[in-house]
Amino acid sequence: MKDETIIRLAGGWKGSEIVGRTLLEESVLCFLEDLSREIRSNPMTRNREDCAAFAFWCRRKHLESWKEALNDRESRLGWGMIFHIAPSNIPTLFAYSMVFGMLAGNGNVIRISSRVMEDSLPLCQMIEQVMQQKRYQDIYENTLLFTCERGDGCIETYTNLCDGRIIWGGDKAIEELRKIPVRPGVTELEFADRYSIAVIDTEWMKQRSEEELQQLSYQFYNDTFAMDQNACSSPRLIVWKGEDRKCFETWWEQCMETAKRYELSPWKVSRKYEEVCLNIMETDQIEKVRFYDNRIYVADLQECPRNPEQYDGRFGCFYQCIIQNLEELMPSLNRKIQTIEYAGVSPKELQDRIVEFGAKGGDRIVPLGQALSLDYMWDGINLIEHLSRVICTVERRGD
Amino acid sequence: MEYEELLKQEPFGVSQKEKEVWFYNYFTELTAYHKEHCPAYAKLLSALQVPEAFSSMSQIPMMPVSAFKDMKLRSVEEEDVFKVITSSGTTGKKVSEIYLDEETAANQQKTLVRIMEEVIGKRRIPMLIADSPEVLQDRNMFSARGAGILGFSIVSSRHQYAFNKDMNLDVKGIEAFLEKYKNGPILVFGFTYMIWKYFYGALKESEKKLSIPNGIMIHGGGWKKLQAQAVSMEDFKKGIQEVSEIKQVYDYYGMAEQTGCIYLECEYGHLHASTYSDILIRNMQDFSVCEIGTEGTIQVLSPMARSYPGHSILTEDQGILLGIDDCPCGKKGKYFKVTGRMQHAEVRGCSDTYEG
Repeated sequence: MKDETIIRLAGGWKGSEIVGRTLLEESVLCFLEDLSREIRSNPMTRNREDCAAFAFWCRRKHLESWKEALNDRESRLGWGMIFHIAPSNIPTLFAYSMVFGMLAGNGNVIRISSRVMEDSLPLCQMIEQVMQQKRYQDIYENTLLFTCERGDGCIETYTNLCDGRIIWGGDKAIEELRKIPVRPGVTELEFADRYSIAVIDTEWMKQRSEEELQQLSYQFYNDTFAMDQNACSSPRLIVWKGEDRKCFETWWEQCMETAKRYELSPWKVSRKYEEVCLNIMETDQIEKVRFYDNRIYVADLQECPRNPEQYDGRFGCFYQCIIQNLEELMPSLNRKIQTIEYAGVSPKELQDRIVEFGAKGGDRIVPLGQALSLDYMWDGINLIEHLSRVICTVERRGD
Repeated sequence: MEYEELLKQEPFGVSQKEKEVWFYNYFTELTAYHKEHCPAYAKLLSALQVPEAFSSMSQIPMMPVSAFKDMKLRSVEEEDVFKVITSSGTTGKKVSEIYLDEETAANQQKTLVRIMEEVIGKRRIPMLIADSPEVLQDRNMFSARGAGILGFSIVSSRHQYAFNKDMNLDVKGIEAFLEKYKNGPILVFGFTYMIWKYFYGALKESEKKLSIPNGIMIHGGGWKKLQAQAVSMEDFKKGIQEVSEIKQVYDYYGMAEQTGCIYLECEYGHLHASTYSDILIRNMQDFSVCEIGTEGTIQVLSPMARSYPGHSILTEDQGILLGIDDCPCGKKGKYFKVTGRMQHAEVRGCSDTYEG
């Protein structure tokens, strides 16, 4: 192991073999509970929105609620050591990845990008601090959070040792890292680039009070602007069920008000204006673009597009189209489509239509406001189950 | 009025008000022209709901400068393309492609000649090029640098490259050239950073001095690299004078997307819009036009851009309008300064991230 090339950020794994453990072990839940509490009280992290969100997410009650949803929990074991390659532009994502690995009964080795290291550091320090307590010695010895430069061999080293690998960071990262393959039979999770949409019932929206609209716009803001509208699960295409231009207008005006707190730098506007202009010129679908100052651009599409992902918007650039019923949406749900957030639409009906139609995309159907809440069900996969194995038994017949 | 007519006007002698009357009519017609001849541009106007009649110059729609990197935008038939100007810009890999027909290319040259008259007069003068002759040979180097050299060459009677192919100063060649033309003005042209590194730097290091008291230096290409080395405009001018005795040193602002209509610096250090082009400073929060003294993003307007829809371009440069018609140097029109490129932001999100 090339210990000299990595910078250790937390944990004390030294390269020994890690055995699989059972799922949602008590010690892991206790550790995460302590971690959650520490993050919320420590001055280094308590005022950071992203850290607070993680702390809230990994509180015991939330994680324990997953117990019921896991099949064969009693007969499952973690694979052993999971090597996580965290993305470079969400400073806290590594911690979520770690939690999935731990709950699935694994030891976790996590490479944090040097680009976000500074922002990730406080959270790493909390993890280190809580983990160093005597009662978590076992977890400490099976965890390593580190950073290293690209191309110095550490990715190869850990890839060769691991029993499972997780690659965050989209298509580019996956293409890069596939050049360093895991050993045959080793489980692998890759999170490719995805595209997300929102489906809103126009009649329902019309009946919202002013306060409700405001509340919804805050939730929508968190789904989009909070991540520069650049997260896979942030909606870019808004599909209205039913037409009412005035209702759309009211909604976007409310969104513009709410988005006034967004830090809109000249560079972001420059990119956003460029992207929308290129989309206008390169496709034949955009009828009209409305500018809500430079806060929000809304481009009207002639119809619900077959390849929504070509309408890429960032920093508050939305594409909208109108459908009369959910069936019309189905041909748009290709493999790239991940989250469908809904407002005023029945999630069950959406799910039924997808199953009936046999659509290739649309894995996550969540209420407006929850686009970014990471769940163990992600990209159509149960992460905890995927990071563990089932030990099945077959009884001898006739005995 | 035809563009030819505009060219007859003094390059810096037309007041803003007079100029805007002409520009308003010309740009209304030119926008309609591009709408008719470039289908992509027509789609843009339609989607942005641009009115047929503008209420002011600021209503003329802006093409984002980077659009020329992603699309082949032209308002002439393919067979009428006379020349394609490429520029790498700053985004790195992608290259802008600007399609010129014969008329547009000719207007670009004529315009540059007219603007340069302001500093060198109506005759052609010898030119010392602060670059290597290789820059025109090597396909990879050709682009902004090569195009700039070729463009400025038209105002020269003779030229001499200052560097050999390894970018070493060709002192012998320069001295012979200077000896021959020492009695008249000499234009010294190059890119700011090249001049600083290979001209000033080499002379300084070898403790050699050149004597070009009649020299007029015109340099452009941006201050980014020099700013990084903490070299100010003052340091630059002082340094150049120290090693070469050139007292007249002028920066210019310009871009491959609007070749020809450069913005020339005056003796007060202000960049001036000539009669043949103009700028607006935009507030990026809502694209409103900034007041004098307020920093914003530079929009450039060039009536020459007829073969491609680049007559109104939103750049990625930040700048400040300093005044109109009242620069102490006596030039009419707008004068401004460029404050730099816009700062890139760290973008959050899921993808594109395996960088660090």
